Amino acid sequence: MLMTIAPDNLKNLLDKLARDRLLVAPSMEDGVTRLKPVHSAAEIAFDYSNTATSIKDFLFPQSEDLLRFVTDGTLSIEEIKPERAQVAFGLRPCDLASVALMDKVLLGGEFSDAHYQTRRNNTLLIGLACENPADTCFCTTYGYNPGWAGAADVMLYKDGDKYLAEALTDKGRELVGGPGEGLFKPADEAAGEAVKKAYAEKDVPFGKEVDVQGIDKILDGFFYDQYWDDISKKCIGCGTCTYVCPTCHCFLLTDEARGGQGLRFRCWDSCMFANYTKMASGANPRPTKKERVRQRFMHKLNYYPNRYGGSYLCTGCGRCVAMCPVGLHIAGVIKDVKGVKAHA
Amino acid sequence: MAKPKVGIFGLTSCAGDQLVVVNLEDELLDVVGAIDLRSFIMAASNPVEDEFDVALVEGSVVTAEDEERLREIRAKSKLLVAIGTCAVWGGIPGALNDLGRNTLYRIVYGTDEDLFKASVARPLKAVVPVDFALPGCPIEKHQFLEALASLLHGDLPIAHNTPVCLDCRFNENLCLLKAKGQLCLGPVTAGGCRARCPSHGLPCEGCHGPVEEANFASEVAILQEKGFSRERVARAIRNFAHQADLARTS
Repeated sequence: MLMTIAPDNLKNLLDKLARDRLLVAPSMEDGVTRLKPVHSAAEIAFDYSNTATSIKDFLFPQSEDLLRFVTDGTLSIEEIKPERAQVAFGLRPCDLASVALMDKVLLGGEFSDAHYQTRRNNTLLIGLACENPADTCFCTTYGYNPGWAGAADVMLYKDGDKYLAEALTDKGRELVGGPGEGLFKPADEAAGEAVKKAYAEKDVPFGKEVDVQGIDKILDGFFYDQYWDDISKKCIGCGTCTYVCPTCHCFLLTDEARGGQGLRFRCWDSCMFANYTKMASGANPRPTKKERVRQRFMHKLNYYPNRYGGSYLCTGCGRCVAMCPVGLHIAGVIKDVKGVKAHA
Repeated sequence: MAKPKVGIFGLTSCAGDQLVVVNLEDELLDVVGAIDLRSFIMAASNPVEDEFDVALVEGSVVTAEDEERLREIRAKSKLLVAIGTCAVWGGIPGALNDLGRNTLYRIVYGTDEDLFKASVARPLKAVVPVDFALPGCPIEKHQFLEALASLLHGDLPIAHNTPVCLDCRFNENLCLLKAKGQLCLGPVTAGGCRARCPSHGLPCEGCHGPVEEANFASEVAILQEKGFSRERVARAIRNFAHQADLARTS
């Protein structure tokens, strides 16, 4: 069912939510809009193309304590659970799509990641459709669009002086019927559907330049191509692409102990660094930047779709496009590889 | 098991790395309790210098006395760890190596006399084998403790070969190179500093020296596009690491 909510009521709702859970929302500081914890709606930036940081920070944080252990003759272990309830507001369609991709890795299949699962359960995702896609955005090449709701519990679409709202999950409906009671009004269904359609069809100019179609199959035979040698020379090895990516999910487990008491935590890791695949013996199966650069793009565009049924491990959010210091990013690689193939 | 015999030494340097050890505060008693600290003249008189399991050496090799002292320490030590960018790369004392010591004598002391029997400033590895390098100007306390803990467990420490960019990303900083076009050496500089300078809006000056596999060619190219000359970038890199291999850059 479609509803509407006035901006003041939306702010009231967010203020109400901030009282009993962590509210995460776009907030501007020094000219950069980041997704970060805020105390009230007054700190939220409503006018932004996308946030410099993604929802990944709050579902799969940079550093996360997993368990404490004591080794005084016997071993005792205490699991640390991320129990705090969170609500994330203002997520763009690319990030909502990224959550669905992360779910496949961390929740699908035989094993699920308990910490990620707990955070997913404890987090309410409120999406906000894109009014002005940035010139680095290319979500449409993957079949997403500026109105894509993905993993959202509630999706909002700015519609003139109000927001069109749709609750998509039980969690979302609980929000509308619980804390949101009296703040939402029923919307005219036909008019609402027209608004959604307009967002879905909104122009994403850079998306038109990047055509990912069929690249997974092309890359099947591209592993040994000279291309990887060529582009890896430019890579400056900063790892930025993996850290700003909403779908990169590699991590490093570390135990730290002092005086018989210890902590196990995990931290984001990056396939762009030499230590990532370095073994205790000193051997490294990805000895140079070439193997690492190739791994990153093959994983996104070939291994993941082969393993998880078609989708690419990229949502076209454009963060790596905006932030790679040397302009070596996935949109360019897609264009290059398709171009090389077309001229071969 | 006997506690490992440790010595902490300084060659030509500001003693800042040794000061980090003295300033460990919360951990200092644990550290001195876990080791047999035989020689550390910044903290204790009457050094005993027969043999060491581990020697931690700060500073670059500039004078004949430095070189002699380093060889002596190496001969008495099972493991030798270079601490600080001077010991690892030559550091600030090597920033003007190109001018030669005679020119520097004239500028600084107004004489042509070889006052200190000085050569160009060299890192320890140019004189003796070094088992592990811990850069920093000064070294980072947390990296020092991690390295020491590994040594106490009988392991060589893990070298964290990640650039300052990683520290910046963890702090979610605006990229000073990409977004502001500043001469930031973050991508080619060993991290672990938690991006102390970029987090305050100041570009990285490379004080930890080059990260392993530093892509100087790409760094120089990107900075040239932003209007910095190759000479300007090379000078910035060589400020802390005169030995950095810039040969492939153009």
